[in-house]
Amino acid sequence: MTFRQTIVIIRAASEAGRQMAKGLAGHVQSLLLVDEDAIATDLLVAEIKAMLPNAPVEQVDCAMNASWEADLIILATQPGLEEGIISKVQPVINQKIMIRLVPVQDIKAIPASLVRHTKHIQDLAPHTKLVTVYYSACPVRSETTEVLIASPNEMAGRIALQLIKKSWMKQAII
Amino acid sequence: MYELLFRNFEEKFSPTLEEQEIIKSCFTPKKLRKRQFLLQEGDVCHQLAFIEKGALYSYSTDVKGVSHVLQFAFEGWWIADLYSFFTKSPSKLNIEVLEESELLLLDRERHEFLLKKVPGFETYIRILYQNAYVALLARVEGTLGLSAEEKYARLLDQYSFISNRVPQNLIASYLGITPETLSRVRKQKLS
Repeated sequence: MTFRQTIVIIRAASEAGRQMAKGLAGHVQSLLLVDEDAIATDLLVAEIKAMLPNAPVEQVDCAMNASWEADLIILATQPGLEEGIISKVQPVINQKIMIRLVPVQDIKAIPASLVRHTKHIQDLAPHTKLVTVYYSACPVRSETTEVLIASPNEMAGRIALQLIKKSWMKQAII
Repeated sequence: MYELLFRNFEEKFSPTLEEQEIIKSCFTPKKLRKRQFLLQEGDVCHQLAFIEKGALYSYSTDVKGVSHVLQFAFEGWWIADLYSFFTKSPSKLNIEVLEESELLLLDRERHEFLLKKVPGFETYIRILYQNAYVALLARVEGTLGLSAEEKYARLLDQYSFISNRVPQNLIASYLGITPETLSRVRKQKLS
């Protein structure tokens, strides 16, 4: 199945970002990778191209421009760093789906602070369809990953589920 | 980002500040590169696109693989496959980017929402669809009745800038003539 969309992964060089990028590269119309660590992102692009020479993947310097081009944004950064990124891209993510990848210790006990933070993030981008994907361990470090998808928008949640299945499913318990 | 959209509205209605915020909240900003697709044949057209910057064109491809240009769209214009948008059926059209473009997209749900929530928007959209229908009738009439020279002259009357921004083969396709005929017509016009 191909997603006929342009997807941007912000903090693509993080563990979760890398895993998503590798999993999605062969299934999207265009994959844009953004990270402050340009060298690591370049290496990631090279790794993906080595596996899939025709993969439509490229590094983009600017999160704002990449998000403007994107139909869907994946944010693979730590919760504390999200505000800065969202403030930057907020003008261009109206009505788009933004998937936040949030690591937790235990998927069955999501801390209240993280739930409050999710609401705070939604307030920063009130017209963005926010989906939060809580995951218990990154696939690269563990054989299985437990995932909980939280989304007030059903359609956005379904799309996030499809993306997770494409990129993490081998290891994910949803 | 919404400057041209609101200037466009002002020709038909003046939204209040509150209405402006409602309208802005409904549109999706989208940037596309040259030769990317806004819509591909077989996909359902879910969105109307307003062009803040750039140029796009729509075309169909016949069974022989020949493309037929239906429409060009530039800054301040709208583009979509209205048939697919309203019937939710797969499009027979492609909408491709001619110049890097900045668009504002409006999906069906928010289109309906704005029609109900902002009365001036309903007036604006009604006039838009009226104009689109009139333009379509004019185009059909022109295709049936005019010579190549007349078609080209009419096109330049309406859009004098078009030769500078659109490749000649696409203009020829739009006019329903061969590139060779267009080349002859242009030479005649220059001389």
